[in-house]
Amino acid sequence: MADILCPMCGKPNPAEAEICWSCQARLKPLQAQQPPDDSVPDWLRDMRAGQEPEEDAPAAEEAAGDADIPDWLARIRQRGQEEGGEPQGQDAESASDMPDWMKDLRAEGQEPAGQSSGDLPAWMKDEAADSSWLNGLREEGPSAPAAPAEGGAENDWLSSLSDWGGDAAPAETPGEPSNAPQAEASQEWGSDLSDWSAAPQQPGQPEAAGSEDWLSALGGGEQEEPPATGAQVFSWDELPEAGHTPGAAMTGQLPDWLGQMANSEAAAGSNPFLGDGEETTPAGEEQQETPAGFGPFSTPPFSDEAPVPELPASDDTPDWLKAFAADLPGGEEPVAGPFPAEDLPEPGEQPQEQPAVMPYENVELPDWLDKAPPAEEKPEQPPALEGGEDLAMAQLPGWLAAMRPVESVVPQNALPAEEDDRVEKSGPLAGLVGALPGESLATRVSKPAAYSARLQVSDRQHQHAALIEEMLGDEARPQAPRGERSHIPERIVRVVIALVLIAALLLPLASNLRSMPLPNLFQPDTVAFQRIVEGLPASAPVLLAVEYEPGLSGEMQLAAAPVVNQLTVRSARLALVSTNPSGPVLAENLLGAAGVRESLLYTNLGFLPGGTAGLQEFASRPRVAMQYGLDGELAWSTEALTGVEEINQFGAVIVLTENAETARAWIEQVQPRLGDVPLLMVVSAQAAPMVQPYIDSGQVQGMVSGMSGGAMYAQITSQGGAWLDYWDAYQFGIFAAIAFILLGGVVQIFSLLFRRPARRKA
Amino acid sequence: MPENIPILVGAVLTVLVLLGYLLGENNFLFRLATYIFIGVATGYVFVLVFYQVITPRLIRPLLSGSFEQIVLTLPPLVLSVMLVFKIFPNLSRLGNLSMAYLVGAGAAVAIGGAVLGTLITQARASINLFDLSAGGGISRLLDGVFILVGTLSTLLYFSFSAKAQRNAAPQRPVPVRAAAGVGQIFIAITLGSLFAGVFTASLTALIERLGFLLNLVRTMVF
Repeated sequence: MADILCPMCGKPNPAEAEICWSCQARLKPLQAQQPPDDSVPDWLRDMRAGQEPEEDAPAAEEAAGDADIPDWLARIRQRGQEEGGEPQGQDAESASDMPDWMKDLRAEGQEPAGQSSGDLPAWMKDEAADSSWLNGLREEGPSAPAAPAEGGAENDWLSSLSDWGGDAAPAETPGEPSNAPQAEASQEWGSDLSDWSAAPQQPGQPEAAGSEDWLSALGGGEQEEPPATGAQVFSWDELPEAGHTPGAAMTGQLPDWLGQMANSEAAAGSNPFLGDGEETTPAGEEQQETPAGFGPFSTPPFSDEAPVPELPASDDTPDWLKAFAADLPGGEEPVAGPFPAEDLPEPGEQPQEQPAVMPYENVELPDWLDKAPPAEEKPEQPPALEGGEDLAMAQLPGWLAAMRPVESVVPQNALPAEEDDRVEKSGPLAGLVGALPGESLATRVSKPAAYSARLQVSDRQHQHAALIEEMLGDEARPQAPRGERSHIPERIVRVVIALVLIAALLLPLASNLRSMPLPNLFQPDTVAFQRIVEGLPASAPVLLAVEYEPGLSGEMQLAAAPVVNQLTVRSARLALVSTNPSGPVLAENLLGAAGVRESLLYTNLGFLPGGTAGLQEFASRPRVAMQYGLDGELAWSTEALTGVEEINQFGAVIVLTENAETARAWIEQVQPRLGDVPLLMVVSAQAAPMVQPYIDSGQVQGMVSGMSGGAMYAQITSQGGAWLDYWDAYQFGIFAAIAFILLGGVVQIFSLLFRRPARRKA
Repeated sequence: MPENIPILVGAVLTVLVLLGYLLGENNFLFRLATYIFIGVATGYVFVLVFYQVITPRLIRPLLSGSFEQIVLTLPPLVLSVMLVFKIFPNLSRLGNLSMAYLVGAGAAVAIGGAVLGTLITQARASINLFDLSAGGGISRLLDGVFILVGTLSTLLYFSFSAKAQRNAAPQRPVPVRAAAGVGQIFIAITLGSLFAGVFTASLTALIERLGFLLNLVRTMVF
């Protein structure tokens, strides 16, 4: 005997060895040596028992091969073959089992095509016989070679019946196992029966003269509708009386001859569709012996193009069936009867599933394979899903459950007991017990703890928040725009005042009336100024600081012109200086306006940078601070500045400014270094009040302020000039201003007296 | 004719300023005249500063000055160059030294002058008014008292310190309030005099401009 290869390490071992010499793995399973276990359920024991007599199955099926086909069905098949022009394979062995009328019918037919079962070995014949019923279901076209097995498979008659009822006869494919479940096919025999009964009611086909009432009842007596094309699947529910089994329903309506046959067969306990001498297997056994993996199958749909089978004539054929056969297109003799007595099911008996035979089941297997445990050769398959709800759930026996590796590792209390009993009802795992409890785990997840999003705010904080919210709301709330005051009245008043003032000024200027009296009262500061200038020695150097801006040059020139004229009279030498960039030019303009530029000896030192610091530098070192003159020449070498080294060597320092700050800078920075040199101021009227304290303090010895001061100075010195032309205008302007001020005050008083009380806000 | 060009320019600018200001400070004529004055003044100041300050005080000593003059010119040159960096935001720190020098020197000069030239002298002058030996008699003394009252009352007017009181608004003491009232009068008089001076100065400037225009018209017409 050949060696056994170790399934674990692959090393060869002697046939009698039970343990691999290399890896010590067991070569023969212990299961085969286990004693019978009482915990094995009955169904498992039956399954084991059902697998033992497999060797006898081919013989039994071979004997039942031809006998399974009823005579009337064989004739129908043959007639279908003749009308379809397709040769149907018939082997001699199966033909010998046929009844006489079947043989006659076959003799009239064509020669069988395809291979004969007599040429096949024994196990192949059985296989062909077993698969014939599947081949009949796989007929796909009229041109395909048909090789029906005459072996007596009970499904052949169903295939033939479908061929007869359909237009296109499906071709049989020999040797091709069918995937259709057998149980379903067994349950649908009644559908075929209904279809058969509906076939004679097609339009164009005369109704059999001898037909009984029950056939009319089956046909419904309705001939207006042709048979439906395509697939026709019938169920027990479509039978005349719902809730009755087809056998019971038909028994009451069967004719006498058919009822007698049915009763005789029922008494014998045989399948009504089996031949004589055949015993019917109990339904329960057949269901249990159905091999796993072969689920129920459906009968292929009937085709309208299938040829009508030729019904052979027989003496046993009733009259109505003969007449029906005579009316068929190619039939010579009527068929003896559609339902042999032995083919009818017993009343009240459900159609039983025929035991399915596994392909290659009867093939001689090698010895090593024969000794393999049956459980390993045919593993258990899950029960059919269709209709699985009615099936009892399989339970593992105790000894098998003990071998489950999962239970040996996973503790029993890992999952609740109720989850082990859970049966999947949907999805690909439907029917399984103890599947992964994904849904259960998902529902087992506890809800997360709910944390309140509400702030813990006290009442005081609430009040503050409300206050802030109110404030923000007020800010965001649009407010009605206040009525903007019109500027038109103000502009009108301003233009009116300007026009009146200009008119008041132009009138004396244009008329040149000089109606206003000249000033006769002189300010002491102006008088002191005049006296100091008057007391200057001849050709004394005088420092004249021109510090006013061009905007007030008109006023400053009117105030300074009398002073410059007197200096010219005194033949003073002038040194012009300014801390204002525009000062040097204004100084030249001042001398020009006074008309003393050519007659006066002067030096324009120009711009003195540095502000107060420059003033201090100039007061300290005038030659260094102002080295060059406006013309770029050395200033201190000119005739006007001859003999002047320090600032206190000037005869007088006269500051012409309209700015009080500039006057104060000269007073603060220069005056302390002057010593006895007088500091005189010719200032604008606007700066006079600010300079007045320095006059009182003695820091400034004289001051001429504004046009009025110039007029006084001119009056004192008996000078004329432009100021005389402007004096009337000046006086008119002063009066006009006083009038406007008084008028404005009166209007304001009246407005206060007659002002309406302010409306209270609602 | 060329001699009349400055007169015509001045006349036009005067008219623009007068009429423009009557219509408002932000009107086109007034702004145009202002821009013209600013542009002219800027150009003039640049030229004046270049020829009056930079050339004689920086360029000329560096080019033709003695070693001592050159050395003395370098610090202001460096400070001036550093002061230029103030116009660049990223380099403005470089001009801080120059600014520090200018502010420090200016503050020192201004504070010294203010203390010595204004505070001390004005205080001494106010005190001297009460010097009966200096002459002047009662009038001088009254002047001194008047100046003293006016000065103190004006200073007390700007004293806003008050004692807090329960259930009442804080108020200054009664003597202080009375003195502040007197000081308010002095302040009003002072401001009135300043306003009068400003108005008089402006009126004089207006009269001078109107006389200038009137003389121009007379010259051109007649």
